Amino acid sequence: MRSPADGAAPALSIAVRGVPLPALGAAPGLDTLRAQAASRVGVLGADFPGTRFDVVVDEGDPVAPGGVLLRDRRHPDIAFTAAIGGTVSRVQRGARRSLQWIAIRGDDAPAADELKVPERPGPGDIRRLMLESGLWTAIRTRPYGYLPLPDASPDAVFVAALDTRPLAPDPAQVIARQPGWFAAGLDALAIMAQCTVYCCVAPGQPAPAATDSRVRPVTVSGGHPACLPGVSIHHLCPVGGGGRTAWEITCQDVMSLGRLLREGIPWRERVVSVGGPGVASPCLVEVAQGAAVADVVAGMTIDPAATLVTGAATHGRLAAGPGAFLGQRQFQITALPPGAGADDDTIAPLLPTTDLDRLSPPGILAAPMLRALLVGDAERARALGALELVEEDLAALSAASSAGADYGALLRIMLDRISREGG
Amino acid sequence: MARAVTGIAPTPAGRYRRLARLSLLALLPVLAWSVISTGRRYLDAAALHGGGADGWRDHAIVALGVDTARSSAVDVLVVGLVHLLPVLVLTIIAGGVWERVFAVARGRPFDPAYLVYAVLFTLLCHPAVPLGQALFGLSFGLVFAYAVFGGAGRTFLNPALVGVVAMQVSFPGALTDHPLWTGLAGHGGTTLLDAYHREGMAAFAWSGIDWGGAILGRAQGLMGETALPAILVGGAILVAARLASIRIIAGAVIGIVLGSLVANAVGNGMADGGLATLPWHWHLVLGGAAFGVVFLATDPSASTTTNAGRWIQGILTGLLVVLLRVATPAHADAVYPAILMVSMLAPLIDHGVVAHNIRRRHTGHAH
Repeated sequence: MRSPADGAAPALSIAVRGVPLPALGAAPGLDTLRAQAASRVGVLGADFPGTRFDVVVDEGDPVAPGGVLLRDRRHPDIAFTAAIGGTVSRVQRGARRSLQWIAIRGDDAPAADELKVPERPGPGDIRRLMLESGLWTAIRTRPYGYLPLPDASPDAVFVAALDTRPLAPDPAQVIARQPGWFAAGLDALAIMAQCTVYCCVAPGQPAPAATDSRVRPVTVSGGHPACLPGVSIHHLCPVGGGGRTAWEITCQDVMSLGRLLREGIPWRERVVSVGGPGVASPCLVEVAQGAAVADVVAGMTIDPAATLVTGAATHGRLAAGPGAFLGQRQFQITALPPGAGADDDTIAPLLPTTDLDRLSPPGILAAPMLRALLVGDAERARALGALELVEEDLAALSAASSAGADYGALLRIMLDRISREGG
Repeated sequence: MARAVTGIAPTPAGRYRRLARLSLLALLPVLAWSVISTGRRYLDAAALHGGGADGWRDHAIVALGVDTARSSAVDVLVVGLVHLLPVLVLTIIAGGVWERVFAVARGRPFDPAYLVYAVLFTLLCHPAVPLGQALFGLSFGLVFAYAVFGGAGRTFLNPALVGVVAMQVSFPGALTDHPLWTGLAGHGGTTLLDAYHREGMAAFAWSGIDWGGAILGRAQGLMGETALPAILVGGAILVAARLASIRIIAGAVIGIVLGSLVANAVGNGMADGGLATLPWHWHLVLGGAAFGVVFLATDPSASTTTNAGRWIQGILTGLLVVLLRVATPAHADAVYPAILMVSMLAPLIDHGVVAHNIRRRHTGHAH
């Protein structure tokens, strides 16, 4: 698994055995990139499991780009900010007053507050900048898949600069537009977290130009799920036994952090791909983070009967209704054939077929884990490695199993229970 | 929260129905070949015997105009169907009645997945099985090893196998007695294993059976266990559908080969080695070894669910088949009790594999 190299630190590489994916064609390239204005953006509560929000704005309030919309109730230092300036148009609440989403309608907005970036920012400065700019919410912890505490330190940080999901934009092309931002972001992460920052790249992809020696490139070869941070974390910083913590952050969020440190404002746009069988001409779109799906696909020819999904065909979210925004870690919109993802009430038994083992995340015994999730046995799920996983890691199993269960949702219940009971 | 969308895959119920259809499809080649091989074996025996026996099947065969002295291809089909069809129809109808009873009692939909076990049970019957015995065995298996646990996918032993074992326990001759074949030269009992135990290789020569003939289903046996090519086709379907684990099948072959090599090493030195001297390539093609390993040991609900466990289960099954055959040569083929025993051990095997996985996780190693 680890091979020696000419540098001081050995080059790291991980080989992943890919799983079969739906044939959806090639992902659109940079030549199709176009900028799109978003008239509405939103923040989705479901993107931050375990977080309770304090809404610090009211409907109708004006908000500047980067203005604070929400704070973590238990850790008010953690701010969720607006990607565009405008007016708070809706605060949608769900069961037990949980926040479903908050939306901003873009219009003439007050100017953004400048964030003061010191000449040579130290760990505390970067942490403060990330918390104030909202970039802190781009980090996700393993285990549990929560937001990290404002004063927490991980054992390692993982940045996936590859994307093996069908039709996803190629991170290498996105980074190539502003390689300096990405390198500066990686350096900043290493300084802030004071640990190794693993930058996972595809074979043949240039290593990031980061200067900090704690930034280490990892070549991850093979098909999907090679891009899932859980795979790299399993090999380089296993967290399933308890005691260790890894953080993961997407490469576009790292670029945003790099720009924040270089220019004083984060990059509030994201490059997302629009593709799938229902799209006439798949393309890349540069659009505000959290943009409404209707805005992203405006002006494109899309089969009206198609099922629009944010995220990949392998693990997406139905994009319907006023709460259809791009999620925190979603860089694509997929138009699937009509009826895809339709709910089926019939629950069939779990047949432990042999493909479950092939689709299982590394190191996880599929059938015992799925049974533990189905019966709600948190202790057993934890022993079998539930702490190594988040929802996306079980998507392939949910798609293949005959039991008709959403194992990601069941895993979330288990993780929340394990966390409540003190891990 | 919105349910995660997982692409273009069929719905869960659709996946389940597809798996049930594929496991039934995998049995069709064996069903077809068992008609032919049963017909041929009956006519071969009748030619030796100078005519059929005195059961209702024999009367039906005569009434349908089959001349046992000069048999044609059509005669082979007719004779095969006379043996297979009544049992098959009986098990499908009786199984359907039990499935309907439990579906109504439990308030769940009628699930045709029981058909797989009805067909498996039929193939595990002797061609001349008394219909009353078949009805009893099938009902026992489907009720106590299937329906009471909630039906397909929730069982822990193969219901067809349980039914056959119950039938054999209640009617000791159920798997071996045939009015026509029992007592024929070379067909003592009905299994060549028994003949070999008593006479060695000479028994095969008397029976006119060589290794190739055994592969093609000329040897006496249960309806499903005599058609190796058809079994392999069905096995390929099951493995491609990911219903059967190639690890279990390969492990069982390894176990049988290893077991018979050890048995040969001991048995060849003895004056009367009996079945201990049977070479491994005969073990694989005689009796129910191939049918049992491919269709019964691999039942996903009744076997181990981890890859390491599958290897262990397969090898254990193979070893136990040889051990039981050598130790109890006078009984009916030991393949089925061997599979049933290892099937009962499957949760224990998985438990060991899971414990190992958990231990490694706690020592902090990635693998």
